[in-house]
This record gives sequence, C-alpha cells and structure tokens, in this order.
Amino acid sequence: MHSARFKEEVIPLQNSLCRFAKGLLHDPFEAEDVVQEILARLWSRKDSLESIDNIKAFAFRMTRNLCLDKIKLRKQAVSDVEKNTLPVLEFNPHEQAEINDMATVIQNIIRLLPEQQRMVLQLRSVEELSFEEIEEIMEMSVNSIRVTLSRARKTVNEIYQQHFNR
Amino acid sequence: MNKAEVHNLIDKYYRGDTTLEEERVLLDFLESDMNNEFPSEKAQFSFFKKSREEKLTEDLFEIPDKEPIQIRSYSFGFVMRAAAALILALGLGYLLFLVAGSPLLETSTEANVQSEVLLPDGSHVWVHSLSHLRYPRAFEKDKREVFLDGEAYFEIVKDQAKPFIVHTHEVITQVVGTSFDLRNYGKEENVELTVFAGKVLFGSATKVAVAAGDQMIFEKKNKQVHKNLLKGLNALAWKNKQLQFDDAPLDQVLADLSRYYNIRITRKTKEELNCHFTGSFNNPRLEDMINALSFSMNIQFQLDNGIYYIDAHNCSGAQ
Repeated sequence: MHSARFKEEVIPLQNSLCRFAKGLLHDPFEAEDVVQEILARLWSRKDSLESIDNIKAFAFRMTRNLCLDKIKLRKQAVSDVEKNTLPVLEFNPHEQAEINDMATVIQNIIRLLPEQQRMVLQLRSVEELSFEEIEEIMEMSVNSIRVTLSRARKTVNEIYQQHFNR
Repeated sequence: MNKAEVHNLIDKYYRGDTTLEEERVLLDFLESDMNNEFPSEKAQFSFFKKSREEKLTEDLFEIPDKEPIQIRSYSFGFVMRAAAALILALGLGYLLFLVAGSPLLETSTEANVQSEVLLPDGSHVWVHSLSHLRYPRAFEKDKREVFLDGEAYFEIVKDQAKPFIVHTHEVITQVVGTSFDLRNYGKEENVELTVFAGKVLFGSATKVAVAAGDQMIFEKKNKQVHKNLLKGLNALAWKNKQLQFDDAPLDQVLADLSRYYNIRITRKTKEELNCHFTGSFNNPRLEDMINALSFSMNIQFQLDNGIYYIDAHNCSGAQ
C-alpha cells in the first residue's frame, strides 16, 4: 500500500479506533497509546495490507485484541452484570452536579456492561458499522451480535429506569 | 411518525434489529420530542451522538517522510513568531500539567508484608516490606518513570521507545526491558542494584552500564558507584523465600541472615576468619538456620538484648 492510500484509508480511522479503545479501557491516554501502536503496526506491514478485504474491520479487530490484552493485564474484575445482577449506579457529588447531562449518565451505565456487550454496542451505535463488519471484528455470528446488542441495550435501559424511577 | 410507529421502532431497537437508517429516524424523533416521553432512549441516543462527534485534537501517527530534509532559511520574524508560539505552547502545556497532571498511585508495604504491583505498561514489581513505590496511572509517551523508597524487584516489559526509569532519591536506574532488584532503605548507607537480565544504567551524576549478573553499590556519602564483588546469591531471598550459600564466607552468611530476618547479628571478636558455608534453604525458620550453622561450622549463637552475638573462634567450614 502506498503512503497516499495509507493516508486516505487508515489515518482517518484513528478517531473511531480511539473512541473504541477508550470505551474499553476508560483511559484516554492509554487508548491513544493503543491506537498509536495499531497505526504503527499497520504502517510497518503496509505492503501486505493490499490483500486484506476490509482494512477498517481489520484495524478495529487489532484494536480490540490489544485492548483486551491490556485489560487482562490489569486483571480487571469481571463485571457484575455478567452474574445477572444489576449493579447499582452511584454518583459522587461531583457527578451529581453533572447529572443533567444525560449522556454522561449513559456513559457511566455502559461502563458497567461486560466487555463483549460494551464493544458490540459501541461498534453499532457509535461507530455505526454494519453487522458484517462487526462480525469480522468480534469474530461472532450476526445472530449472536444481535442478541448481544439487544442484551446491552435492555440492560442500559433497565439500569436507567431503576435509577431514575425510584 | 405516529406513536405506534415510535413504540414499534423502540421495541425493534431493544431487540437489536433496527437498521442504521431506522436508528437515525429514531434519533431525529427523540431530539425533537419536546414532551420527553422517552427519557431513557433520548439519553442513550444523545450519548451515542455525542460520542460520534468526539475527535482527537492531534494526529496519533505521522507518516514517516522519506523525502530528504530541506534546509530552508527563515526570516528573523518567522523565527521569533515560531519561538513565541513554542514558548506559549510549553507554558500552556505546563499549566495543563499542573491542573490535570495525573496524580501518582502509591503502594506502601508494612513490616513483614510484601506486595505485587502491575504497572500500566504490564511490567511487574514485587515490593519488599517497609517500602513505597509510586507510579502514574498511565505512563508518559516517551518514558516510564516510577519512584522507590525501600526495596523492590522489577520485571520490566521491553519498550525501546520508552525507557523505564526508577528514581531513588538522587540515584537513577534506567532500563529498556529487564529484571533487577533495587534496594534503597533510607537508613542504609548504600543503594544496591542487582541485575538479573538485560542491561541497566545506574548512578546519579554519572551513570554506569551494569550487565546481567552484576551487583552495584552506590555509596550515598561520597556518591561513588562500584561493583560488589561479594554479592552472594541472596539478593532476591526476600522475594523467593530462599537462602542459598555457595562457599560463602561467614561474614556474608551473617549479613544475609541479618537482612533476611531483619535481626542484628554481630561477632564477638573481629579476627579474620577463613570459614565458608555451603547450603540451600527453602523458607527456613531462623531457629533452623541457627541450628544448621552452629552444627556445621561449629559456632555459637547467643541472644542478648535483641542482638545475636556470634562466637566463631573455633569455626570450621568446607574449605
């Protein structure tokens, strides 16, 4: 791949990749590091990128894997959502002040989701990727992507209702 | 869109079946819905929208420029303007750092407690008792810096582009990727470095390169670095719970015991001795060590007022 094509097809992905990494890692600096590394890796193998059908999905998958590695290293605890109990959403006073900003509330709720659900939700609802692309990134079937997506959306709604209709 | 249609779309959304086009329609509706009949969905969609608009402030990757660097001459005015911009940028950066500078995390251990720490880059640190390790939540782009009081064993993930630096008061230990033990208790006269793998730069004003297998000593008093020729095998005894001696002179055996058990040991008489000891012990109790040494080297231990006095004038040992 020539550097002109790299500039056209890969470089513009950095915003999306960075948002995706941030959604997984909750750490903007670490997310930037991850994306920087992904871009450097892609650059170093740019000659073999020609043979890849969907570079976007490929870059997302690399990002996903690298983030998951980082999370594994952190030994992050398994989210309670996976144990079928709804975690309680609590706000500190500072966050309470921002509570009118509903987007922030949703962001906090999404953080409580298991990684798989968080990734699928973000790839679909934020990055607006097709099911085929998500299939490639997540290495899941379209059917289980729909199920995961449905579960994520329902859980977000449930926690939201629980919190505001008490 | 009538109400039934909206409900229908929202149900579809929760089943994971909406198309992107349908979700856009839903977003338009929710944004214009002044009655806010669907607060949860509205909040969700406004978060997604807000996220989509999030942009990086700068590029994370610059395509390496293979063109030869052109030397251009700049007018004085340009240089001045560039310099002013640079100073402004630095100043702003520093201000940002002051305001938002990431606070350091700290791991502190009490007596008889050790702690294992995973650093943000995946490097592993074992912190000895009565020590403090401070490190950032995320490392900087060009280096990885941590601060140590006390002793710790480091296994550092290799990253050529980001040297790993341990600050121990005035002494700096810098590596790329390696494993080493660093000891700097405030009350002790020396800073000690033992390198197990890789290469390490060590020192304050001037630094020396230390190779795997070597132990260096930095004397705090005169700020000199020298190699410890009597290093022995027990630099990591605290972590591995293992004491090993291979034809070790008695004085070294006693020094290692003193350090391992955190006890005071002194010889009754200070004559030159030629007694050596060989043996390996797994998680030994102090009584067992005393028995083993007394028996095999023919020396006597005597505990008096918290200090172990050693009578070694008849000592014998594999020699």
